[in-house]
Amino acid sequence: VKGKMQINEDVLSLSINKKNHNLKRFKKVIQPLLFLLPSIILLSAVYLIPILNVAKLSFADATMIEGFKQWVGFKNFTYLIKPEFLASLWKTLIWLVSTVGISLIIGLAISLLLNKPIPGRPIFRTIVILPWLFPEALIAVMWLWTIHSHYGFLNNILIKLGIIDTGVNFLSTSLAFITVIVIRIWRDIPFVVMSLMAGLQTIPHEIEEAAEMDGAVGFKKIWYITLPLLKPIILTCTLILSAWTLIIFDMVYILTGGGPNNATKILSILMYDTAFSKFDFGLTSAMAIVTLLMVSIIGAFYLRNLRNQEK
Amino acid sequence: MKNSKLVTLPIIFILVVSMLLIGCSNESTSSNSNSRDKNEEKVVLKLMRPGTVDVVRDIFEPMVADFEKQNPNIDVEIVDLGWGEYDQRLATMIATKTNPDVQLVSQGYLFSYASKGAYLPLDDFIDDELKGQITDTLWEAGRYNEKIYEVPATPGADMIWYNKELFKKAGLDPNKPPQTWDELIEYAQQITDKTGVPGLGMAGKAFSDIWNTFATIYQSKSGKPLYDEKSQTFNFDDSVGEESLQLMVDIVNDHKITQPNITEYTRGDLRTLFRDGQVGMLIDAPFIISALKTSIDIDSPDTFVGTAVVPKEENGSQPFFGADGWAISSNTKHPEEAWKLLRFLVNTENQYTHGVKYGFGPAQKDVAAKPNYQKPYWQTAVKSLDTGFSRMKSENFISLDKILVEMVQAAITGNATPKEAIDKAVEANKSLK
Repeated sequence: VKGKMQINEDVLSLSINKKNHNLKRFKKVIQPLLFLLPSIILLSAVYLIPILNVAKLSFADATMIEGFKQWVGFKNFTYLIKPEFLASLWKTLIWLVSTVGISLIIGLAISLLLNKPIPGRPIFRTIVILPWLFPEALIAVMWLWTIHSHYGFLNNILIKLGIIDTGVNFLSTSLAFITVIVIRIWRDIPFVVMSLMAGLQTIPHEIEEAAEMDGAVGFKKIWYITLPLLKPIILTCTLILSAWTLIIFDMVYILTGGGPNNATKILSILMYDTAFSKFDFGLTSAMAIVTLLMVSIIGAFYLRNLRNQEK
Repeated sequence: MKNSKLVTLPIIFILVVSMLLIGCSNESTSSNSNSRDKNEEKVVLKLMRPGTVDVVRDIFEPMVADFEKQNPNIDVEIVDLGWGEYDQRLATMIATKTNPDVQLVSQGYLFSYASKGAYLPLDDFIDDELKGQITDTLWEAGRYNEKIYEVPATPGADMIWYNKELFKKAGLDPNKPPQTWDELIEYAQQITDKTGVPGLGMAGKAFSDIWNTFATIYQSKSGKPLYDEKSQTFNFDDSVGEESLQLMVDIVNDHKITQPNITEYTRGDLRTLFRDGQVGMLIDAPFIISALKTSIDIDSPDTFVGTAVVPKEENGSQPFFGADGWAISSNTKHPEEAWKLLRFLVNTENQYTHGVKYGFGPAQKDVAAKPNYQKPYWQTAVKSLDTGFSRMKSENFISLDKILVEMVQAAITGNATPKEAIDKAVEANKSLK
């Protein structure tokens, strides 16, 4: 009887252990999934379904009005090796590297300057972030007025200063691309300044003081102390700006419409034209997939950077 | 106990969220069905007139109120849409089948979308009275594949607008506008040389305006429209086409009689320059009138504004014209009521009010007889409409528009010779088929 009781106890204890194990497994694996389920459903509806739809259309003959017509395999992707697309892709890469690179350099210089206890610092800080407060479309119209060769404020100042004799057409075939890049940089700088200034506030004074005692002053201090400590924020800024810059449309479209002579036809403008002039949603989707891949690669770097920061 | 709570909590949460969602959706369904019951005897129509919202509402709200009074079983909702967002929004509306019942459609877009079945043919609705009111040229402008899809409402043909004061200063007779293209260049040169003001305004920004001018030159030189509807090919793939584009290039680059930096200007921008006396002449449609009226009295006998039909060649003056018109969406559930509304909007009084307040030519004979249209500039506008050719009739109109913009811009900016630019446009059109 005693032995039987012992066996029963063992079975009971095994059963309890198994139950506890199952419960632990449930808590560890299934319970978080249950908590995440509403978000997963919501995100799937908002992001995944449209992305899958775009992926589907990229292999199809589809128009905006008629929707999906038939499967065409990789036909839409063959356009992606044509000169028109490659020229636009090349322009987009130049646009991306120059706007992000120069915004970071100027933004860093301004944030270092505004981090010093200079008189009127709050006013300067407010002025610097102003471009960030206006909508893209408004900025485009404002710049159109500013740079116009006939009635633009900028040309009038340059003429009055004797730098030029007649108004410069900043949106001519040769200058339009540079002009939109400069305007984009003007727009991006506040974001860099705000991010880097927040980062500068987190650098402990003790480190800076110790560096100064060791003889690291001026540029040396920036190069060996400030920049390494700001590196994670600079990287984050670069990645976010890059993703944004790749999908910019309205500002460039209002300024130039992609012209003159396709001088400013970056990918987003080419996609818009293909979708709304040719109504070719299959081809537009193929281009969108390429852009998505580019943004995803940037996103992957961003996530890796975030993880490294957490470590 | 604690564990079971942890297990049940998320499940309860999901259930509650699901029930809430179901509840919301039920509520919205019932409210929809309630409103459907309430409005069962009422027909609701949506009306869209793209344009400046304040101006549109100022014109159409009183009209809609009158219409609703006369038709108590019909409610009309006005849908606001600016021209700036027209192409995107219209495409989306048509794709999602939310296209308003009655709408003013840009003529070129009409052909693109009518070919996809987005608009109803109106032939069976149009009564004899209306048929007789509108000229054949204008009815033709709204005909596509042998069917009429719009009642033309806002016609406007290219004509010459010139500054009489600058003519006088340049030693030209202000009552003798140029009669040929050579004369136009000669006069513009004289104005530029003698007054220092550019003799001719020219648009070069990437908008449809720039090929409208090319169309006007080509049509007057060739006597043919820009596009052949049957073969769906450009007519200008010939020596006259090259000559016409070369003329534009010469005006800009050789004669130097236009304002500098033309790629910064649309026709809209040039209107301001003309109003302010900063260009001697313009080729533009009557849509310029509202821009001029903002600060000058063009109806005064002393006005500096003079008008003339565009220069003639052997084939006469054959300007480009556009004629947007009223159309009915094929999504409408109430075609009879939609036509009733459309017909009301184009009765003589309403068409007149619309035309005068918005600034476009008279689309109907009785409207043209009204006092406002007896003014000299309107008389020129009416004459110009009689002999013009309207926009290209093609389901690919929107693509053709882009192709032509690129063609003209490439030539006038020296990026391609006229021949190269035309060849590229012809090839691009072929690739659309």
